[in-house]
Amino acid sequence: MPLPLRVCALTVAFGLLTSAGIVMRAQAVETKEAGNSGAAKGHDFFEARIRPVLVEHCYKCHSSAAGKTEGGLALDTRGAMRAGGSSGPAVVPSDEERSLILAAIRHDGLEMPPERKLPPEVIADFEKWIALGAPDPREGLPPATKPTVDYAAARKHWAFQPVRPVAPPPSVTGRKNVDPVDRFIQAKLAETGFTPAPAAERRALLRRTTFLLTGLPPTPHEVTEFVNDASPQAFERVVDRLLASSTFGERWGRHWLDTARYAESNGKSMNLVWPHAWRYRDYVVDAMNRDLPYDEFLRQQIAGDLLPAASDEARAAQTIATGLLALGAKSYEEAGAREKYLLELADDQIDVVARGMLGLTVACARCHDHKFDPVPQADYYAMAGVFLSSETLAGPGPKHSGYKGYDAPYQPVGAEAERLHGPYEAHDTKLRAKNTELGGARSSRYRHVKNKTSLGIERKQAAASDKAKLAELDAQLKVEEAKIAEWDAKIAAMIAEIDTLTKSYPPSPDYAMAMREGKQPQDCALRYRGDWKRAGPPVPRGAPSLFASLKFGPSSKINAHESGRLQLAAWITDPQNPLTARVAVNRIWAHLFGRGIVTTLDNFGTLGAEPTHPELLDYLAGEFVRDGWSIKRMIRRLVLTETFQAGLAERSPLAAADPENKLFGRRTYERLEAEALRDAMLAVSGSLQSSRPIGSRILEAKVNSANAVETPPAQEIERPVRTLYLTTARSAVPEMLTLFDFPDPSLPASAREQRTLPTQALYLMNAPEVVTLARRLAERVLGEIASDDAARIDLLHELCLGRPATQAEQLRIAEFLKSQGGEKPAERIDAWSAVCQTLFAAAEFRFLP
Amino acid sequence: MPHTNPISRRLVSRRAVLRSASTGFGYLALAGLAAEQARRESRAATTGAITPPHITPRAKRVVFLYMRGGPCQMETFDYKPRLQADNGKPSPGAKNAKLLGSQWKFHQYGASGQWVSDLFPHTARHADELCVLKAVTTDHTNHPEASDQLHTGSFQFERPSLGSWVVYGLGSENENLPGFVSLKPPVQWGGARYYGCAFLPPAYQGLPIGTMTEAMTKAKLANTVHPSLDRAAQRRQLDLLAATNREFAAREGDVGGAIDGVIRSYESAFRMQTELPHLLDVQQGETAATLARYGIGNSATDDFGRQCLTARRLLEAGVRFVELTHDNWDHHAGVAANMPLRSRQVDRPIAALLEDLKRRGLLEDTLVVWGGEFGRTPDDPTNDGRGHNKDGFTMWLAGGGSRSGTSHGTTDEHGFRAVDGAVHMHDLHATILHLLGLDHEKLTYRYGGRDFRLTDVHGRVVREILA
Repeated sequence: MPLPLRVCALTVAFGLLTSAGIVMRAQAVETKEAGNSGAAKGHDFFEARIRPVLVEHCYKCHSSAAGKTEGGLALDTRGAMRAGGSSGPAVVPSDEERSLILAAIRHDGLEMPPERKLPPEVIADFEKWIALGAPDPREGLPPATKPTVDYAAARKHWAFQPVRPVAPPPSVTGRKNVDPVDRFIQAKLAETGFTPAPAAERRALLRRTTFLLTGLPPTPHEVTEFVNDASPQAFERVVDRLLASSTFGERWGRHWLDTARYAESNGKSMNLVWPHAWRYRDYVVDAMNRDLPYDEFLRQQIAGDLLPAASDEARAAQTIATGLLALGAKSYEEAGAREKYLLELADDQIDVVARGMLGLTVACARCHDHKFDPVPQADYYAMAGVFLSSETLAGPGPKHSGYKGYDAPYQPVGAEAERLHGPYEAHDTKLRAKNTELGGARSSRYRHVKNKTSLGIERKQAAASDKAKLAELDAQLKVEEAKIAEWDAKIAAMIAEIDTLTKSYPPSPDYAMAMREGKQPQDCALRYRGDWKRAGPPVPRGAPSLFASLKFGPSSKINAHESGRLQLAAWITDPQNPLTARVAVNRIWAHLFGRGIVTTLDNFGTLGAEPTHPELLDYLAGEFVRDGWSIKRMIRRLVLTETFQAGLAERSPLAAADPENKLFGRRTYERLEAEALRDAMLAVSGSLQSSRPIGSRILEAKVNSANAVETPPAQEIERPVRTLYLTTARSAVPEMLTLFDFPDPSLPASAREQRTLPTQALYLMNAPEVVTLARRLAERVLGEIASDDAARIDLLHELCLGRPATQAEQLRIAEFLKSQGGEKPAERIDAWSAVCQTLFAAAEFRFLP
Repeated sequence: MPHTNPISRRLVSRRAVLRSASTGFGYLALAGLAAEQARRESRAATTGAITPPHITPRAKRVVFLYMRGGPCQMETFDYKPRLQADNGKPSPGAKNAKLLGSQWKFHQYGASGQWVSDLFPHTARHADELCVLKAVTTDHTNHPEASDQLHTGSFQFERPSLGSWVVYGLGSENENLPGFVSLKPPVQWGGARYYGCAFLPPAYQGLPIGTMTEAMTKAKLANTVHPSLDRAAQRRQLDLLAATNREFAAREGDVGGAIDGVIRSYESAFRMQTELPHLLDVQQGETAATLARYGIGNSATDDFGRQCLTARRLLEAGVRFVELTHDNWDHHAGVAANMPLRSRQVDRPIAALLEDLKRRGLLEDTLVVWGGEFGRTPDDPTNDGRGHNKDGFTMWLAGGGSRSGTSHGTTDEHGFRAVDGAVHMHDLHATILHLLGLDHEKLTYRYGGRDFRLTDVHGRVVREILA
């Protein structure tokens, strides 16, 4: 890792000090000081004791006159010294605490010089000088120091520029009423000499749209209806139907859950179970379904607990929303190092907010200024302060005693929360105490059992003649037996009591993982090189400084008593924020078109990709904000474009020239994600349970003695629920999901890989659950049509592929059925199951047109 | 180069058979696709291998030992007496850092007198086989970017991985196995790119087995037996499936090769489901002595030992390119404790792999590559830690036509940067391809109207290190 410049520079400067020289100068001053008074006296002190040190040892790197202001700090004028550098003011008159130069020379974080501390006399001089009010005769304004981050240069990066109001170009086709989005796309295509691909065939369009909006295939009925609907509004009606379906939120909610690195266990080395995480999952699905405006969606996830709420229900939802910040993988590596743990916690929160909402890798600035983007290290700690001033209610930490400080409660939510939480928790505490007591009782009993055993051995070994000893041993044995009986009785009573308590739980409130304001909000100290033990000056809580440099947003100050989450949420969702809306519409675009206008969905910094259609991106970002940040309306207008409805045109010159479809002149095959593939198999085989399951089975996952998840619950993959409702424990995601590119839920990742692997093929060829669903599909097809094999084959294709079988398919399948032989019903089912499985495995089933 | 081992001989005859059939592996069952393939831009997508090779090949297969995080050169293979003498002095590099010498002694080994630190006593026994590159350079000091460049040549764009290029260039040696296997690849930092094929057809993608964070004992090939169909019935079922997929490709078109990739994945899966599980189970067919030599059963070496032994089995069975991953060499702190730990985990297994390859006559045409995405700085910006160094670090090669018992290139006396014999990552890639008989300037794939190469417009074959 590189070193923060400002630290390096000062260190070298101070490293050159020699204690002998300083002492000599100090002695020389003693005599001169006597007899002087007031300001003159102060100035003399400065000239004698302070300036020589600064000149000789600091100006080399911190002099505006010399043009060297490392760390943004100059020490050669009064103003510059008080203005300070990127870490804060070097000198605050009469304020030892805030004068960073003192912290530096005292080795209090800044550690200068690193080799050897300055002689105490010199430090005392600086302390005295600052206590005197830091008299300093040096005139001159604070020079225009060179900040470590050149914001002016940084603002030239496209993504940091304000979203421009863009007028769509005129239609290149000359046709009227061409959608603005199409005009952008077609204009760029025309520049390269291409025309857009012709519209997709209706069945393909319906299949594409249904999957992309709901994650499920269209039913044969829906296909027929659309194919036969001659009205010009036919497609619009389909789109509105899909947007209104509750399955929409299950598809689009899952997109956000990727970004939110949603999981139901901690991951890392202590994979603790989180029984309440699923409420956040459901919140996200519901938010998508009711089209919660995106800015409000983000605000709720950062500070929903602090926002006004119209009802108890709304209050509960908003609180659950903050679960985003509580769901990160926590570092329980080091028992007793709570501060380190908290900094790791904040690191995850910074990353999920900055990358997830802004496409900005602020987390890279933990150890040093960001090497590529305008994010100084201080920004990182400004955000860390916001989160550290809040409490993360992620439930209990590891059970081991060293981790006591890591325990947190869960947040009771809902109308009854207040009323139910107290008695419930009291009951729970009582029960836990009883269990501890029981443990104690068992060890006490065991002590007596051990005593009894050794007495028994002693008695066996004792000589039969030694009657006295035998009698004594017998007496002792009797005592021990009595004790054991006594403990047995106590234990039985305790077990009975525990049993009663276990059965008599008062009603539980709903619990959620969430955030709340901390009791003592405070700024977070910058950590040198990211080392939690090396605290530097505290950095005022706030949003990335880039925002201030862009001059937008409420100039709201974070008050001492608040964390600053509300202000952070306001900054992020400010309509002037150049990143938030761009990042959002780009993701929506990517999910609909298979490729982002910016391909790096979570990085809009200088290491990210450039937009292929910058004007279109700005146009959409502007429209998105103007239209009230509505995700559904944005999707609706994009889906209704000609660009969305284009065909594959695989054999066109355009396809050959632009295989990646950077121009969006046609469509490309998109692989079904793990969820869509599995849900489609469930749906067409008639197995899918359409209602949302309540909660999660995460408590049934296999855990070890430390309550860490090892494997998903048994038979989880066989549950006929939509895949997003399967348990999502870190390091224990059902294998099928991982095989088909479900992302590692430890980090925000909005884009998925699209691999084609033999291991995926093996899954579809051999996995028992696939074979089971193929059999269900066979039973369905055989059950629905009495005896006509050709009709059955057609139905099978209608169900799976949204079209009847081709003649060649009819022939091949008939031949295959014959080759499998057997006339008995069981044998027919086997043969048909094998056929059905080939439809699940077919490229046409796995790819969207 | 004469084929001196049984595997090579077997391959020659098999290759001859295939050439006479005018088609490459993987396509025997797929002749029906010929019409579709003809529309492809690239020649090799249809033939599977370069025939004849550009250059006389010295190596037939590669095993890449990826030391993730950037292992320290001056504590392993780059002896820096001056650095050790200057230990604790202010660094001439970073302003507030001290020079940090190796805490481990170096000794010379073998006839070549190759220097190896005491952290690698077992590998040191094979010093005469090593071709140590001491002045490797790369372009980026961030892990994700540098790791991308190490594996794909590019730190900016998604490009095919080295292994994919190799399989694209040479085809597969065994139709029952994938050409490229990556054992325990990392998931983070875009780890899928390290075995990804980007725009090359999906058939050239590496097969990941296990993941970095899981034990090798868990790295298995799942779903290898159909619950009810026997092999013959499953073959008929897959023929039906292949016909359906071919019809789909013919009807709708398949310009990007996506459908073709799916078709091949089933053929590949059908063949590998019988052979691969056995190869991955190192308990099958290995003696207790062999397992012990790899350190299997010893908690420190068990995991990488299993990887190395599995690699040998895969290479022997005809896998063209095997990558192993060992984590974590990113020692920003705690060098004193971490270096012995990490070195111990890999040293014995690597030595056993080299020994086995040598014994079985495989080392002469198997190229072993060891290294990370970059090296480390000779100074210590924290306490007992090292930064990232892209300007001069060490990787080594063994076998496969590399010049054994030599070292090439030097860094300055402290080890900050290359001063002589620098080998850029592009040069290393060009050289690896060269040893395999592939000209890095001719091994191209046309995509989107442009010919792409592993080395882009860079790369120089380092002739000084060719045997």
